[in-house]
Amino acid sequence: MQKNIKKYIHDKSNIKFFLLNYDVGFLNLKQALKTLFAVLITAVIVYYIVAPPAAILSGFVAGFSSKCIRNGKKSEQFSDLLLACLSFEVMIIFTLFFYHSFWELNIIFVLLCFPAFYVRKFGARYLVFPALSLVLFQITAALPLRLGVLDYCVPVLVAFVVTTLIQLYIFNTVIIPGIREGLLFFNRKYFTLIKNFASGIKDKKNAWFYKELLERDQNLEHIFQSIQTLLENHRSEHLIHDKVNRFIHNQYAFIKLLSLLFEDMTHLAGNKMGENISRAFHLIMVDICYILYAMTKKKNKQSRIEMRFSLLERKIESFTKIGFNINYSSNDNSVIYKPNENNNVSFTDIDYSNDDNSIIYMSNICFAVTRFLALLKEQNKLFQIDKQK
Amino acid sequence: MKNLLPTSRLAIRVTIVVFITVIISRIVNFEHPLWSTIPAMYVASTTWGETIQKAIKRVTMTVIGCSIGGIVYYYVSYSLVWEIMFLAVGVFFITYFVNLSYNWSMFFVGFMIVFFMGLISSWDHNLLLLRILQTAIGCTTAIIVSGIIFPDFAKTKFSDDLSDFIDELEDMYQLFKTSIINKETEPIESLKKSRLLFQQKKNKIQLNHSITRYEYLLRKKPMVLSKHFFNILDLLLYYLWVLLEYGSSPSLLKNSDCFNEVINEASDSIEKHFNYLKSVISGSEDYELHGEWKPPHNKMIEIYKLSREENIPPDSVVRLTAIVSYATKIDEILIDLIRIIHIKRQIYGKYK
Repeated sequence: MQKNIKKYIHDKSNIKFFLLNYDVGFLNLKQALKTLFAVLITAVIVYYIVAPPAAILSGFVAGFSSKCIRNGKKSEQFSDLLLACLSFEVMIIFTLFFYHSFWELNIIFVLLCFPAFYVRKFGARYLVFPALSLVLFQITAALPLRLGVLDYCVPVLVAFVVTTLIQLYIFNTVIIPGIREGLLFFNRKYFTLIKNFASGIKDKKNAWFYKELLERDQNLEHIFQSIQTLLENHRSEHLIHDKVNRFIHNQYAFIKLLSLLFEDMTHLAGNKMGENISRAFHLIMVDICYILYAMTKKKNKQSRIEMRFSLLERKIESFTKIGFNINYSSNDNSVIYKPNENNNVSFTDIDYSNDDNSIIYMSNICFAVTRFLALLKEQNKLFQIDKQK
Repeated sequence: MKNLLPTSRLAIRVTIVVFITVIISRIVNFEHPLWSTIPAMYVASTTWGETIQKAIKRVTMTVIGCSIGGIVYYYVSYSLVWEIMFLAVGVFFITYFVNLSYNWSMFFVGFMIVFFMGLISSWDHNLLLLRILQTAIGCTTAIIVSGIIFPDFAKTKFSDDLSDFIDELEDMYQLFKTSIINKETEPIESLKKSRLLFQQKKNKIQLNHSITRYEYLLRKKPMVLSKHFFNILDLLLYYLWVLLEYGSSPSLLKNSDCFNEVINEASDSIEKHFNYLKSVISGSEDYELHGEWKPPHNKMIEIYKLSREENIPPDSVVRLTAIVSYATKIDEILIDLIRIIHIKRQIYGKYK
């Protein structure tokens, strides 16, 4: 297990995680592959049944129609595709009537620009295909291809059938594995950061940790944007909407909590607290690391994770108790923390009377570890959703 | 005409941009008019700044993409298979980058065009120059028209959206305060659900702000807020959210007068700073900073004493301290935001 965990942290060159940084759940990669398949298959079919130049046109139709699908319910996706392909067909036929005259062709093009952009106000469905229809209108006019009206129907029809089959039936993207990939990615990040907490706050590590945290924060911004795009694409599926929502919330909370914890620890480290806190923390952080690692394993035993959770819960409970094991000096109203009898960790070396904020930072740490447990549980639930699917 | 919806204004702008580009294409007698009309159509965006940003990126990436594509084409043009393969590479990467990076997707559009032209006829340096020139004409037309016809400026959108956003955050805090004092968890629960919406709004504001600098390219220096401003705004959002999280759980000490007193004190300071922040954003100078609020040590000790006397479980005490601590942090953050805008304004002048 120890060996596996070491491998898990140090395997930084892993290309999978590098790509996941930019493409959450590999959804763009999958979409690109599907579009490429659709374009190639359509072009090959049309190449043999109509004429070689028509293959190029059909390739464009297949590529454009793939872009018009909004990844909602299958019926919605189908209607998106149908609407887009109908619009493409109409545009291609329009071109047939006007391509011989520059002015006629371009005046029609200019006139169509207004409705193509005006319809955007009716929703996301009208965001892509009207503008792409106009592009196709111009491309068809530029292609050295003059066929009959019926022959122009074939490329669109083939593109429609092939795209429908590839995008909706053969390689239909399911968002849940995407969430899982995202969770794996984030768990790995937390693992690396929390591992550092477990080794205690030492001056030499502060800079590294802060840099790492900032980097994560910047990556997060990008990742959240990707997830939000994902969310927009899946807005019709409320169940998925809810899951992605929970997913975003949890990762956001995790990274911010790490920042806060770091801030509090740094403050208390300056108050000769570092070593003691580290010792108490070590016990909790090691457990958190184990749970994060266990969650990512495909064949993890839920019962084992549950057991670790209950262990962690007990440790956190005793940790918060230590934090609030307070005695009051009646003379000057200062606070003295007495050593805990059942635990080898004590906070007696903090002088709370001189530093008003220390008491707040201390409770913040207690708050943070309690919150870690809640976030970890939510993370585990998110992994379970994936398994149920 | 000012009351037109943004989509209608965009539609009118795009139509005029495309019309002018078509006329130019005809006058210059371009071989492929779509090379200027299509970029013009896609570059014209909802705000002037965004149009400039897209135009710069589009022209730059067209130069790079077509040049690299041209070099590759020079070496592989003898083989149809290679040409088709590179065309497929172009299609793949356009689709891959379309949601991830505008720059890279435009680069691959340029790259793919080379092999597409190679397939239907051929590609040479004249076509490269023509492609760059036409893209530049289309993009320039879009920039000029977007700045004249029903112009929408990212600068105005940014400051309006930011003021609205701060208003909403203040309302959110007020609701939290009322709920926690009246011990009603329902309003807090409903607020928690809207966190993602707030985050999206903040991202939109940040995006509009980053675009703003393009609107100043040809004019005086912009008042650019640093990324820290948005990081701090992000933190403010997060702290408010943590308050909602902890305020919505029932706590045994909520009835305590001492706790209510501390929260009321914090709220007074927070409300005052929210108002100052709004006046700074709207350009007013009617504010005076006295420093952030600090939880009184004796009151905090009183809370701890109370928790011991009444045998309150540690997690409740943690929750209460967290609420006080986050209220302090929110107050500090508001002051930081005011200071950032104040300093920037002293250097660059007013937003409005």
